[in-house]
Amino acid sequence: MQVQEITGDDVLLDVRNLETHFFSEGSVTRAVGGVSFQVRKGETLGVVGESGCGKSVTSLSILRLLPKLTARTVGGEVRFRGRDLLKLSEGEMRKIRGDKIAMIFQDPMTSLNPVYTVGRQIAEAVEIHTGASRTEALAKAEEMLRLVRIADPERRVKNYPHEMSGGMRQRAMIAMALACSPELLIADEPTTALDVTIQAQILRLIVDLKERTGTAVMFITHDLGVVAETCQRVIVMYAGRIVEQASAVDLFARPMHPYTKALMRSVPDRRRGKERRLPEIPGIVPSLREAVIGCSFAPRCPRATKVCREKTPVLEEQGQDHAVACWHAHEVVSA
Amino acid sequence: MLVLAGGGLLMLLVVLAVAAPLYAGDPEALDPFIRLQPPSGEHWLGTDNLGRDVLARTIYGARISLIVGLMSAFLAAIAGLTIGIIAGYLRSFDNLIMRVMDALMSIPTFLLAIALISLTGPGIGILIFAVALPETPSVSRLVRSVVLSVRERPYVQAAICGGARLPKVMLRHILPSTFAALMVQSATVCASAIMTEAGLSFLGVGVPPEIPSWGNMIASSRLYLATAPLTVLAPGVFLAITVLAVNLLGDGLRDLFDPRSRSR
Repeated sequence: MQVQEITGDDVLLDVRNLETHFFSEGSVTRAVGGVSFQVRKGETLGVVGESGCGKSVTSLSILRLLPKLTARTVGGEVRFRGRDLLKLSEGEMRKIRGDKIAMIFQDPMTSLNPVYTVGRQIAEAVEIHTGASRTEALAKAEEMLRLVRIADPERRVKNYPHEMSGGMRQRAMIAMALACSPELLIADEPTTALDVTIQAQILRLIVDLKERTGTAVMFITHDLGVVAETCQRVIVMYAGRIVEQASAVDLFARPMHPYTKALMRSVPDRRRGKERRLPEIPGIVPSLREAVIGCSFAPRCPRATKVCREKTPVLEEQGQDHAVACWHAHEVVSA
Repeated sequence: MLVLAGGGLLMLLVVLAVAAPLYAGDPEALDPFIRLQPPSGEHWLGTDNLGRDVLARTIYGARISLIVGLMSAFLAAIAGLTIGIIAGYLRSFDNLIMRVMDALMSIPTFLLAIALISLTGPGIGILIFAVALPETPSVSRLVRSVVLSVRERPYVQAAICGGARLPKVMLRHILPSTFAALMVQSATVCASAIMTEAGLSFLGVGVPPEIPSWGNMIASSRLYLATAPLTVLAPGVFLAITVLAVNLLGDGLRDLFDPRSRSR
């Protein structure tokens, strides 16, 4: 049985067989190799995986922000409210970026332009998409800063980025992203560059704002803890493909892919005691330059058999809204 | 510190040059009876081979040097900035533009300037253009390299992600980051433009001979170096001081914009 398709008005973003390749002298890197998933209105979708698994490239492909000379989306569709974003003109795409789909980047230290005040940068997006005057846009910027709970917003709008702390800058980035009330917010590791206490605050802020504004969030992270706290549904990516897709509750209760299981096992657990070494996943991520034959996780998988090395498993529905791409999914669950 | 020293010196020279008519004598007044005289109460730095006051000519000469130096630096900076930003941001033009700049760079400065001036005849306008043109490639290269690194910064990506148009991204997010490097480079260009102007005037292709300029003063007096050394030394020393002031200013600006280089 194929992955059940969710249709109707419920789906905000429908990505089908997205394939993005990077081209460099003579070689092709298949960064994203046929990814399909959906984001429903108002939900939080977690995208998990280790570095280089294609999480960020997927999000950049959706917004068409890949470096033009080296990367290209070679196949698939990205349907946003029914329109294929990959077929839009650059001008139409610009109207979507920042207005309908906004993005928060990983590093708040470098994502704000050091030569303009924070207020002006938030106002810029507002001016572009709503045609508001400078004064109106600045008022909106102040309102947004208040929304993201920055103390003293009247004063802070006039601050330059260097006058703010990392956590405040990330709040400002969130304010900027939400200024035009986007329908989809892509958060690419928004808390990775922050320290733990600030991380928690920022996460809570995103979840809170999401609930208030009804924005759907695509949460890209390598932190399973973040996923558990914030997401309704989760996609696990490995080597440019989706290996498992499930509701967050289900995924943590019943991981079906050996990779997902291994990832969960390598999260530190206080109850496990000091003396036990933290399990790691042996081996390294396969090179995406060569065409993968069979399951790309097979070389690192303890359960790999002949079929794994010969045939690539497809994502198949294994239960209520739980899909997995593994030949041995049922053995993993029962193990 | 360097900025103050260089800037102060340069300001002093500018004030001296601008206020010249108020205190210096007539730089063009000939008096064949007092040729090549040593310094005196009337002519502080003596007179040249046509009996003209060396001090007055030197001070009026500063006007030419400063005008040509500053204007060419300004022109080269504007041209280099425009070319560099286009080449750095619109990568499809990059190769073409930079190869043209390479070609321009491969022509010796003086040859290019002399060729240009011989097309129209001497004049301040063409001199400024002829001095600025060979300096443009170095500025555009520098600006391009800054643009190449800045365009990859997350805040530029964030601006594009926010839906900003290309001209807006270029003018608002990339242009300001090039200013620091541009100002430092402009000072260097200015110093070298002053030298080029003096060289061209010395060769007789710079400003017309009736206008006093350090280059043509040195050229016309070099035969009398043994009998009246000040006729050559005065413009020479002023030239050195001016170039030094501009260079100090440039170094100071560099330190100011890039604190890490101060320790070196």
